[in-house]
Amino acid sequence: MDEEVLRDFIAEAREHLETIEPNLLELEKNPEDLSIIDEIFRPMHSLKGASGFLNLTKMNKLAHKTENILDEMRKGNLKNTPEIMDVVLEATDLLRQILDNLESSGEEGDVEIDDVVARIEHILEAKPEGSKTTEEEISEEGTEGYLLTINSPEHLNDFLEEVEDNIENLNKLLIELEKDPERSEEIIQDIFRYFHNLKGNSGLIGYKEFHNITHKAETILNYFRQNKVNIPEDIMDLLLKTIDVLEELTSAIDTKTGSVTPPDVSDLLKTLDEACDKLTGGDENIQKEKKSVKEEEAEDKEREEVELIEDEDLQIFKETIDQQIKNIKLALETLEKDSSNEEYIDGLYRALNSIKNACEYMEFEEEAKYAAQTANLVDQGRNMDGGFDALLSILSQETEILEEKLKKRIESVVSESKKIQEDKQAEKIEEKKEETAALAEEDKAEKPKEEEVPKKVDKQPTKQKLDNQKTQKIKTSATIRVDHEKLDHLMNLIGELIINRNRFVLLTKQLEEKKDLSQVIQDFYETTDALGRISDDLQDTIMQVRMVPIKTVFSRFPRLVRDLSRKSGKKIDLIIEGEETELDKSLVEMIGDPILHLIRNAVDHGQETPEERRAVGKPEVGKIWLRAFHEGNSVIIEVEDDGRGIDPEKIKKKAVEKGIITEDEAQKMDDREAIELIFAPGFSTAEKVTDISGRGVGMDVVKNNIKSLNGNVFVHSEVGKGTKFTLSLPLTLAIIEALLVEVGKHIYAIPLDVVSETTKIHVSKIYEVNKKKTTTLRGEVVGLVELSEILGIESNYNEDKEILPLVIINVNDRKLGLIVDKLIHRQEIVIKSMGEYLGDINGFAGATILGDGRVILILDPSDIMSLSTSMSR
Amino acid sequence: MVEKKTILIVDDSKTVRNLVSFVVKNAGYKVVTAEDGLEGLEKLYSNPDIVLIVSDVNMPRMDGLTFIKNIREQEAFRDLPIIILSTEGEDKDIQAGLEVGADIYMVKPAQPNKLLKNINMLLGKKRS
Repeated sequence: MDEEVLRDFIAEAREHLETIEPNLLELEKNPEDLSIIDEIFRPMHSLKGASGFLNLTKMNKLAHKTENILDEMRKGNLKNTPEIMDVVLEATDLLRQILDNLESSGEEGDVEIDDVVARIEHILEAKPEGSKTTEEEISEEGTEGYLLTINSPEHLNDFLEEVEDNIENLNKLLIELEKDPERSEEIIQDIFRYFHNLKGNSGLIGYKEFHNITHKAETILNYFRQNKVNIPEDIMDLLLKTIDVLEELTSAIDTKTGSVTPPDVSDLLKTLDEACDKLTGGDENIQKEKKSVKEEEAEDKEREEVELIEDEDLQIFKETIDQQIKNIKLALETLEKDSSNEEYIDGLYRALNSIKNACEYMEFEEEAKYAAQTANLVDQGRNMDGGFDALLSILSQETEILEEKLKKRIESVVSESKKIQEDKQAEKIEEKKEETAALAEEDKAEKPKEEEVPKKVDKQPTKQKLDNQKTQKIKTSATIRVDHEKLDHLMNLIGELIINRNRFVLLTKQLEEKKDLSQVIQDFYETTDALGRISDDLQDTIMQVRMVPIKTVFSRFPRLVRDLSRKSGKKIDLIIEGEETELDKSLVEMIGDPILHLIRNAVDHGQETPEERRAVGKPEVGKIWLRAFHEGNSVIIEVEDDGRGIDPEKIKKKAVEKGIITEDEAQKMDDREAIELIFAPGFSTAEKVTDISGRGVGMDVVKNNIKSLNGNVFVHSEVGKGTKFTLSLPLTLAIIEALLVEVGKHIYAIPLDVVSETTKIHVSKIYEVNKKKTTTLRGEVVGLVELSEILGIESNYNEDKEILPLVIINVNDRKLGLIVDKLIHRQEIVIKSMGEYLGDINGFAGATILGDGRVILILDPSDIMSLSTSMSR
Repeated sequence: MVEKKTILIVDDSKTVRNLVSFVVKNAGYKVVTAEDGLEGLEKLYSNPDIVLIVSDVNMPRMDGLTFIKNIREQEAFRDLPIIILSTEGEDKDIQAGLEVGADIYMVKPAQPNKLLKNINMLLGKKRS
C-alpha cells in the first residue's frame, strides 16, 4: 500500500473519528435528535468508503456495520437505546485502535471485532418489521442530509428571512380568507404568489423537499385561482398544515454549515398529491402541469447526462443558440405575414446579435463573423423605410446557413472533448503500465535507487524491516500547519540576521585594523542590540509556530468522563474551559496521559455517588472542570471537582500505615503537606482498587511526567467541597527566563516565574524557630535555607558577612527564602536536558550554557522546596 | 479604468435579488435592483449605464412580461439584452416570454453561474 495514501487516510480517519465521538455524546444527551445521527452517519460512511478502498477489511466491516445501524436509526426504523449507544461507542473505540495500529505498524493488527459486529447484527435483526434494508439501498440513500446551493451565509439568511415573512403572511391570509370570503379572489391571488415565491426561493437554494411541497401547494392554489371558487375547509386545513411543515423544514436548515437534514415529509406530499388529483378530477389543466413537471424532470436528467461529457460553457452555449434560433424562426414566420412588424425585426436583430456575442464568448470566430454580418443586414434593413420583405428570403437563407454552421461547430467541439477525455484515460493506463514495467525492472536489477523510489522497493525487504520503515516514515511526518505570514516573517528575520552577521564581520576587521576604538565599541553595542532584537523576534515567531490549541488533547475527555460515569454509576458533568489555549506542540503530545489520570481520579475518588451527594445537600450531578489558560510564561491546566475533597487526616494515617512517613513526622505536618503526600511514590488512598483508577499508576507518576516537562503539579483540596489539581507547564520546553545566582564556586539558574522577589537581609534579622531559620518580610514569616546547604556544597559564606542576598521563591503559594552568595542577573536561558546517563537528579531541572561557554545547572524550585522541608526535620 | 457595465435585476424576492447580485458583482459588473416591473422601469430610465436586464415574471404591481413589453416599445431599448429568470418553465410560458422580447428564458432554479455565463454570452464577453 502506498504510504502516502495510508498516511492521508490515517489523518482523514482521525478527523472522522473526532467528529463522530463528540456527536455520539451529544446524541446520548438528545437521543431524539436525528440531525446528530446524520453528523455521525456521514463520517462513518466516509470511513467505510475509504477503508474499503484501501482494503482494510476489519475497519471496513466495522464502519459498515456501524453505518447500517446509524442508518436504521436516522430512518426511524430503530429507536435509539443505551444498548445501541454502547455498541456504537465500542465500535468507534475499535476503529481508533485499528487506526493506532495502522499508524504504528502499517497494519490493522490483532483487533477483535467479531463481538461488536455480532452485537450490531443482532440489534439489526431484532429491529421491528417493515424496514428491511439491503446494503445497496443504504449506499444509494446515503445522501439524506445535503448541502444547499448557496454562496454565502447571508444568502441563506435572506432566504430564511423571506420564508419567515412569507409564512407569516400566508398564515394571516389564510385566516383572513376564512373570515372574509368576499375578498377571496384577491386573497387567493396573494396566497398563490406567496407559495410561488417560496417555491422559487427554495428551488434556488436547492432545498428539494421545500420546493416539492410549495410546488404542490401552488398547483392547488392555481386551481382555485383560475376557477375562482372558494377554498373548502379540508383544503384550508391542508394548507395550514403545509405551512406548519414548511416551518419545520425551515428549522431543519443548519445555518452554520448551509446544509439541511430534512424531516420526513412524504405524508404531506402524499396528501397534497391526493388533493391535487381530487381537484383535477375533471380539470386537465393541473394534470397537464403535473405531467409537464415530470417531463421537465426527465429533461433535466437528460440534460445532466449530456453535461457529463460536455463542458458547461458549451452546454449553455447550445441552449442559448437553441433559444435564439427559435426566436429567429418565430420572427421570420411573423414577418412573413407582416414584414412591417418592427418588434419582430428588432427581435430578429437581437437574436442574431446574441448569437454573435455567444460565439465570441466561445471564441468561435468564424461563426461570430457570420452572425454579425447577418445581424448587420437586419440592422440596415430596419433603418430603411419599409421594404423589409425584400430581405426576408435572404435572411431565412442566411440564418439557415448560420444554424448549420453552429450545429457543426458544436458537434466538432463535443467529439473533440470526448476524444481528449478518452486520450487522457488511455494515457493514464499507459502511465500505469509504464510504472509497473519500470517497477519490475527495478526489482530485477536491484538498483540502489532507494531514496528516489522507496515505496516501490518496499516489497523486497523482510517484513519486519518494512514495518520499521513505515513506522519511521509516518512518525517523521508529524507536521505542523504554519501560517504563511509567519513563514514570511521568519524569512525577513533571517535576512536581518545575515545583515547583522556581515556587520560583525566588518567590525572584526575594523578591530584588527585598530581603527578608532570608541567608534567600534559604539558600533558593537548597536549591532549586538540589533542582534538581540532579531533573536527575540525569531524566538517569538518560532514559538508561535510551534503553538497549537490544547483542544486536541481535551477533545477526548468528554467521552472518557461519560464512560467512567456510566461505569461507576455517578452523574458527572464535564465542563471544559479554554480549549483554545495554545501551547507547545511537543507539550500537547505529552500532557494527555497525566490529565487523563487526574480526570480518572476525579471521577473515581473525587466525586461522590448521587446518593452521597444528595445526603450532603449537593446537586446530584457532580461537576468536573477541565480548564486551560495562560499565566505569565506558563500554561495552567486545572482539573477540579466539586466532590468530597481529600481528608488530610486520612492521608496521614494511610501514609503512616504504608511506612512513607513516621507517626512523628505525621504530627508535624500541616494539612497542605499532608495532602501533598498523595504524590509520594506508592501511595493510593482508594479504599478499593477499582477498574477506573488505582491500577498501580499513582499520582507520583503524574508528578514525574509533568516534572519531566519542567512543569509542576499542585493540589488544593477542601473536605466536602472538592479538589483542584493545577498543572503548571512552561509555554515551551526550550527557553525560560531565569535568575542567575552564585553559590560557592558555582552559578545556578532559578526559573524566574517562581522568584517572587530578591532582597538583602541583615544577619540580625534571622531567627531560629524549631531549628528552622526564619525571617519576617513585611510582617510575613518566611522560612530560610542556605542554598549551599541544600545542595551540599561549600559556600563563601562567612560569619563576618552581615548582609545576605536572598531569593524568595514561591511554589504553590508557599514561600521560601534561599540564601545565596551573590545575585548575578536575570537572563533567558536555553534548557538542555542533562542527558540520559545523568537522568533525574533531585533538585535540578536541567542545565544550560552561558554566553562564555560555562555549563550551569537549573534548579528545580519544587524539589528545593521539598528538600528544605525534609532537611529541617 | 474601464467603466463597469451595469446590470438591472428585477425580482420581488430579496433572496433572488441578492443571490444574483452577488454572482454578477463578483464577475465585475455593477448592479441595480428593482422589486417589480414598475420600479424596474424607473431604474432603467435613471441609469443610462444599464447594459442588460435580468427579470422575473411573476411580480406584484407590474409583472415581468408587461415590463419587457414596455421596454421594447421604446426605440432606445430595442437592442437591450433581457434575460427572463422565472419559476414557470412550461413551453407556453417560455413562448410568451420570448414573444414579448426577452432574449433568453431561464427557468428557476437556475445555477447562478449558468446565469452568469448567459449574461457574458449575451454581452459577448470572451470566456477567460
